Amino acid sequence: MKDKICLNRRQFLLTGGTAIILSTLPGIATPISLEKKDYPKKKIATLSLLKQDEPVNFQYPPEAHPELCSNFIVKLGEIAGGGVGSHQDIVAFNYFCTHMGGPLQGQYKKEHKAIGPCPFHLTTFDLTRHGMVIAGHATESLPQIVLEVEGNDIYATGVMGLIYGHHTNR
Amino acid sequence: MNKVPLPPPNAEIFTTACDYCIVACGYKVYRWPVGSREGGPKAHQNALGIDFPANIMSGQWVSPNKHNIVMVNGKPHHILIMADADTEVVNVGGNHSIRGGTIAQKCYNPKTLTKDRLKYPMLRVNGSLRRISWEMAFDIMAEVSQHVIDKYGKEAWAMKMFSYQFWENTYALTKLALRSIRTAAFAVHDQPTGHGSDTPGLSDAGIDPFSAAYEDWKSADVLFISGTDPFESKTIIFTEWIMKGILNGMKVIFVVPRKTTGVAFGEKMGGLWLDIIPGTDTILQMALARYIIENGWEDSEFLSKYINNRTERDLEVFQANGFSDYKGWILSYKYAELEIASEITGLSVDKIKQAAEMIAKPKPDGSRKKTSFGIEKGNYWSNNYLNTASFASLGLICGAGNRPGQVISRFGGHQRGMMPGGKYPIEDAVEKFPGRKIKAIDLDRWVEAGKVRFAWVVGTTWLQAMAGSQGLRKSFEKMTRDNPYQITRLDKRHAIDMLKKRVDSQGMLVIHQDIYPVAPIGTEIADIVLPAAGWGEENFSRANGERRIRLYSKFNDAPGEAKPDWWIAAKFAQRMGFSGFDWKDSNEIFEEAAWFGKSRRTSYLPLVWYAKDQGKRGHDLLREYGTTGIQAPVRYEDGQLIGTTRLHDSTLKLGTSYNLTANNAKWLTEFKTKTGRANLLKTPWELFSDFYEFIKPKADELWVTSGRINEFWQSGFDDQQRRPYLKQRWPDNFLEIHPDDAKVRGIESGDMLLIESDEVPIQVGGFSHKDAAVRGVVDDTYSKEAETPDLIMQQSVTPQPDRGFDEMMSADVESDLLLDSLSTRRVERRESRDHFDFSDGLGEDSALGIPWSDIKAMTFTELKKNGYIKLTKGSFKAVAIVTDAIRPKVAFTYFLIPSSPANAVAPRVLDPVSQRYRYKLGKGRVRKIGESPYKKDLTQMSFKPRSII
Repeated sequence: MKDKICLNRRQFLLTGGTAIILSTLPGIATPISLEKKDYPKKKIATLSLLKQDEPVNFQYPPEAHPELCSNFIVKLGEIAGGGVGSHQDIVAFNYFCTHMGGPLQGQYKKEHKAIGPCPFHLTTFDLTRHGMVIAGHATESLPQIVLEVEGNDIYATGVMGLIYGHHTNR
Repeated sequence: MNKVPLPPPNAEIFTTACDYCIVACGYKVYRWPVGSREGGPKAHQNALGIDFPANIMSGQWVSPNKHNIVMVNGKPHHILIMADADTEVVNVGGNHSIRGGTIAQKCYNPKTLTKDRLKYPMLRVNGSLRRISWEMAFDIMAEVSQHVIDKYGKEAWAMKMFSYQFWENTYALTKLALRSIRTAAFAVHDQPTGHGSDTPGLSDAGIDPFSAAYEDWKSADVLFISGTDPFESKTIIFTEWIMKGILNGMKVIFVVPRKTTGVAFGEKMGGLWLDIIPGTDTILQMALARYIIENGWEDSEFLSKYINNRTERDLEVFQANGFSDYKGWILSYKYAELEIASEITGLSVDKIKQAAEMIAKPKPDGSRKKTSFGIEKGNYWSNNYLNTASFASLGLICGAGNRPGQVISRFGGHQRGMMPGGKYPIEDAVEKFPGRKIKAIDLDRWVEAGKVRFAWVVGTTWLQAMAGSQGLRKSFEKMTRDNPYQITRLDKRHAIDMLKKRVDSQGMLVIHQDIYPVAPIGTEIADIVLPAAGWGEENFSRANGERRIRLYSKFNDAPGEAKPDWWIAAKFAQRMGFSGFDWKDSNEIFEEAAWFGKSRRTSYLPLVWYAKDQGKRGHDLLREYGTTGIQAPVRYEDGQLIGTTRLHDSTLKLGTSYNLTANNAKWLTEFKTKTGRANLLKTPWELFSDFYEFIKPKADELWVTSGRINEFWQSGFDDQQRRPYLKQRWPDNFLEIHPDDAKVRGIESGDMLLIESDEVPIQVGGFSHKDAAVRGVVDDTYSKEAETPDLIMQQSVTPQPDRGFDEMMSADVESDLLLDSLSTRRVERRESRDHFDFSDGLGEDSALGIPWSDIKAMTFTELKKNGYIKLTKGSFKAVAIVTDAIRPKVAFTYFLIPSSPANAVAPRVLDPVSQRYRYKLGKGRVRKIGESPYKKDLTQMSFKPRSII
């Protein structure tokens, strides 16, 4: 069954996740801890070809679950948590709602720099703030794909959070 | 977390329901010992029986927030708490909210933010809380209690408690307070009193506010929702029921000043958003009714069959003499005119007409639409009696109230967890306004008047939860920490002596019983703090908003020496020498309470009886019903237990019942009045307009209304304060403000705001003539002469003789928190009055039959004239969210962040008819005082609108 490919493959399940403490401003009580999982680096987009507010789809992690592991990269035009590029406004996320797995394809809202509502139960996610729920039911933020820029190439290097349906990213 | 452990095939499974909102979705708890073999990703390797990754919409995704580690008999265990993917009721297929989806994080785990759970009884010594034994706590409480009761009377002994946290607890606590102590100084968490219906207009119309079934919310053609977006506060009613109805063609009208996700979706799908000015629902509802009647769109067949067609009392202010009387009244009543209504409500004439057409205009073929009416706090906590009464009338003329898909009902807030163990001693409630029947003690004013010497606070913040809260806090401080008599040694005798001296010097002993330290009532004010055990730490029962009863299983240990509330009440009661508290476990209470609650809408006596017949315990039989549970009233008909889908259901065919079921059988199929027909109620705006004119924002003030949001519950003690993911989402209180209002104040999203008011009206004093020591007493002769109504014309005011004793005894109704369901009903002791004592099937707190002269004495104008109103100041802080999803001149905030409570600017003036607060009508000036740290932080708090669709 295709569903299990990404879990059974050891290249998807690299050893040991890295916890990233995202920087917080002084005086804030609770630093946010998100788990980042490194995967093989993969080129997913070309910087000069990204147009603002036009999401580009890509698969990641490589050779993973072909449906659930589909993602988008988008240049928001405003600074975002985890954003890359000279304006720190390029971010990438998984497409599946972390409530019950609703597909978010086609739901990017450029006026809000958000994605949603999920067609199943209307959850919305803030793409400027690490995929945090704006309103809705998801028990986790939308998994964010960690990006790196080298020259004109944008690479995916890992995932923060568990992609819907999975019980492990090891 | 990189991995969520999967439950092995032999994991133990417990059923429960979510602890939070009214919906009470069904959940399963999977439990297995830490260190034992975990489950694997193939279906045969795990207790979920599925291959991983979980499929879309399977309801089986084990997200990290669904896992925790808890202690079971002192040994660590994994738990996964999952919405029940197999359930066919409520949250069908494992749907859940963000609150329930993260409920595993509620469980005590010292490695999480739950580490500060209260674990031991504590006594305040030199200002700090020190651990003591349960024995010592009960010794001190009992001796001081006896001293207070002997010296100052039982009304100096007060209890303020949650109304919802499980039947076994509420039964034990109320049995203690109301049956053993018999104090009238008793109130529940969300009201200043412990008596009466939340939606008295519905009750007076004969409509049980929890009559509907969830399937009714998707099976109408049109749904009129007032005062809430269920998406935000009772999520699964929206996503599982209303949303499916909308996708099936149902149109929804939302009457709320704020657009959130559900409203935006409803509007997009052909519904309507009526962004009403706060507090004006009565006007809108009357205008809709009038326009419908003008066009002849009322449901004549229904009205002729199901409406009381004569007024039973000449003195009546509210009840219409049948539909023709109502029609005549509303067609000639100026405040029901469209143009006036448009001006007051802020809604265009066209929008009001459009709404009326949607809810009542027959289809082209002449057939009627099925319309249902759902109501919540935005409506009934702004103008309680008139809003709920005019809402009921509007629904009734559209033919709703007694058929599938045509209901009038509340959606609900908390789950239905009140099971009274005693009757509120209304005859001992000394508060009494001129001419008016005795009314329940307003406990906030009672404290402020110095009448309380012992206050036991169970599971509520009390101070922040009440309106005009800052003044109340000062009263508490004065009578506790500022009193000269303080405990300075960890010594029982010394503590008792000091506390007796304190109560003898205008002071008070406060007990706070809760699961966490609560500021300030527990952390700064209480001298004794008691640790309670909660959800998942004891076997409990409760009903949801469609009266569905489930067993909430115990599956882990409570921390330290924490005990369930029922146990604490019982041990104290035994120390006081009261009998009837020797329960061995919560099941014994469940079985005992069945008898006392047998006439309630949540009655389940046949279940207990049937269990006994089968040689089972009540809880065990209920456990067999799993997450499906059984809908109350539980009936035993034709040899089997059956649930009741909806109340007042004219289509219901009753079987042959066993006599345990019979006492509420009538309102299973008819309305809850003596005749079984509903009452149409007139709602004169003048009863409220004086207060409304006073409270309306002036100059640069904004309305500051409040309510819930989807992501957390109540005062946020479980989530907003202690669940990292939700704390990240909402690190602080917020204020939604319209861009126009923000611009002129120089406010941007993320700015820190101060919301303040110098004009928070507070009702003070005003107790009985029997209690002349309390200031502000009105001369009791005030209304000896019946006054001609000066505001409401054409009301006849003639005396009517008292009703007979038999008639009073025949009343047998149940109201939400009307603690009168014991089989022995008392005849109220009343002062001699020449107006009659109402006593039909409507309940003691019915407004029907109260003459205008009596109601008038309680209007804001009269209260003010007689010195009962003083003005205080209030303020709170919040982070700005600038959004056009809120109406201009209106700001919206969360209703209860304990560190910054919105009720600080809410008026503390009670509804003249129903004695309820108007929490939603806060107002204040809003100004920027700086930038919050979240404005530029990209990891915490989102400022995006909640209306993206």
